[in-house]
Amino acid sequence: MNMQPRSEPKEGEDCFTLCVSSILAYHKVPEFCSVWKQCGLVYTEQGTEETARISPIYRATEKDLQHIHHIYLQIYRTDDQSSVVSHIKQLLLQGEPVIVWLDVFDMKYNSLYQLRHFAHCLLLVGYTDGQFEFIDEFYHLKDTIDEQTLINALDLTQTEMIEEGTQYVYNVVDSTQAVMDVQEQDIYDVIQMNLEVMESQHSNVLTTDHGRPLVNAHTGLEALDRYIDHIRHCTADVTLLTDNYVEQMYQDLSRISNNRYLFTYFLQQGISYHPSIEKLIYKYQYVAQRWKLVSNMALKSQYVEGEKRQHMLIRILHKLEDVRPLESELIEISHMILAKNDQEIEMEYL
Amino acid sequence: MEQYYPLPLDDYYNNNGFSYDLEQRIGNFTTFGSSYPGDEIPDQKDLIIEDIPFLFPEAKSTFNNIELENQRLSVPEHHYTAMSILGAADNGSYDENVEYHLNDTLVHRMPLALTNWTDQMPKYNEKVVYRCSGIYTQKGSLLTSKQTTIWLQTIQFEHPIHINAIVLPDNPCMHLFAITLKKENTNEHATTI
Repeated sequence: MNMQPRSEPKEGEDCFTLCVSSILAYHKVPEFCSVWKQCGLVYTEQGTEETARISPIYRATEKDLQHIHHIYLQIYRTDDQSSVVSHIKQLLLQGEPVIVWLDVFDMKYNSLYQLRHFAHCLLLVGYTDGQFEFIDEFYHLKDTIDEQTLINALDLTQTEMIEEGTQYVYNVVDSTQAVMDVQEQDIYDVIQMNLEVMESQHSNVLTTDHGRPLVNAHTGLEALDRYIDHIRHCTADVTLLTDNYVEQMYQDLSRISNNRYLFTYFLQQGISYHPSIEKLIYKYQYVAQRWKLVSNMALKSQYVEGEKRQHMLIRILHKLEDVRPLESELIEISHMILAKNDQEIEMEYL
Repeated sequence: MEQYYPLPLDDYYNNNGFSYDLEQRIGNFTTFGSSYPGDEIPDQKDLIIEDIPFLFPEAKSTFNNIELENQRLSVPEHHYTAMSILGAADNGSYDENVEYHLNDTLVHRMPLALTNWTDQMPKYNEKVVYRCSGIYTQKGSLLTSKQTTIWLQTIQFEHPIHINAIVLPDNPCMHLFAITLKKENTNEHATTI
């Protein structure tokens, strides 16, 4: 496979979306960043104070890619190391690039090499004589890795991804039936879909990005309010601000930021359909930047302790309180776009 | 004749953005401990960039940039027409509001925007001041897959503002190495009268 790293990733692309984009770009799918459509807020608690989470996702990733764009994401999960490697080799032999999740601890070029166990995603694009060829778009790198190092790295046991239940996770993307011509009604339908989540409607049909039903979930601005209250409560007691707590906070907030950026690429397909969509895009970009700042502050809090960490959490709290009215504005603009569309449809039938 | 006031920032520096290989001094510009390769930054305190004088931090000083956290910078009371900055953002590009005060009164507020230090192209019309060959990691190696940049950004005020303090925003992903204020040209003003 003659795949090369892209010249410059787009804002909001994380390691996984970078891999998907690489495959779509390789298969000459135009506007490949515009396939990410869901953009909500979901808050869940699993009983303990540490496990309050917030996410932009409310349906399975593969469903998001299938909807409108007809792109099919095959997800493989297993605990059987030998079958993983043989299957990956088989896929590569068939000319399929393979998205693999791995632990960066033993990846020499990674900035976290031998510093932290951390789940990361890259693309395998070939195999020859015990060496796997890979592309890591995050580092704009194409290189090889020997089979044993890869096998060790593929084991996600010491990363947070083990919480999903399996040691090994890898993906293949089928874009042979991809539809990239987004119709006007598709734009409004997606805005409506996200709006319903942000206004806490239909919360009983929501799932995680892995397709698990969400239980006791709060959505939209209510989700953000609960998350802010939760942080306020935890910040009052420094013993609650554990390493795991701040790491999860960083994961959640950076995911929300990336999600808002990615959604603007989908909306860009609708600029010609409605005069206010450009305004919505501009607002989403600004909101995404604010979420990115908060996520970076959560990241920084991982590297301090005690009162310094508490101080950083208080700063984060203030930033989230500033984000809240911005998310509310997005809802108002979305309503305005949909209302004008309704009026235009009514006018058509008069 | 144009007059500038380069701010002495030594008392405000709170972050180390430069690493030095030979001395094994590792910076901490980003959260993961990455930094600029300090040997590629000229060791020069008095700089002139685009005809604007700056006071640049001394090489190998413990701290050499301001990581923004609502710092209040005292400046000589005067009418100023612009503020120029040498700086960069890390882990994203950001814009925030800077406040300009006269004593306890907010006189003016204007956005300051800085591009990510590893971006090739500026997002906010900055100019390249220094471009280094790579990123110096916490483990002491130089990654050359991405170059790193210190930018020149200038904020022009719509009209001269009378101030004696600048209040920076709260954004630990924005870093300032040097700040220079441009004074109102009072001679021209007198001539006009």
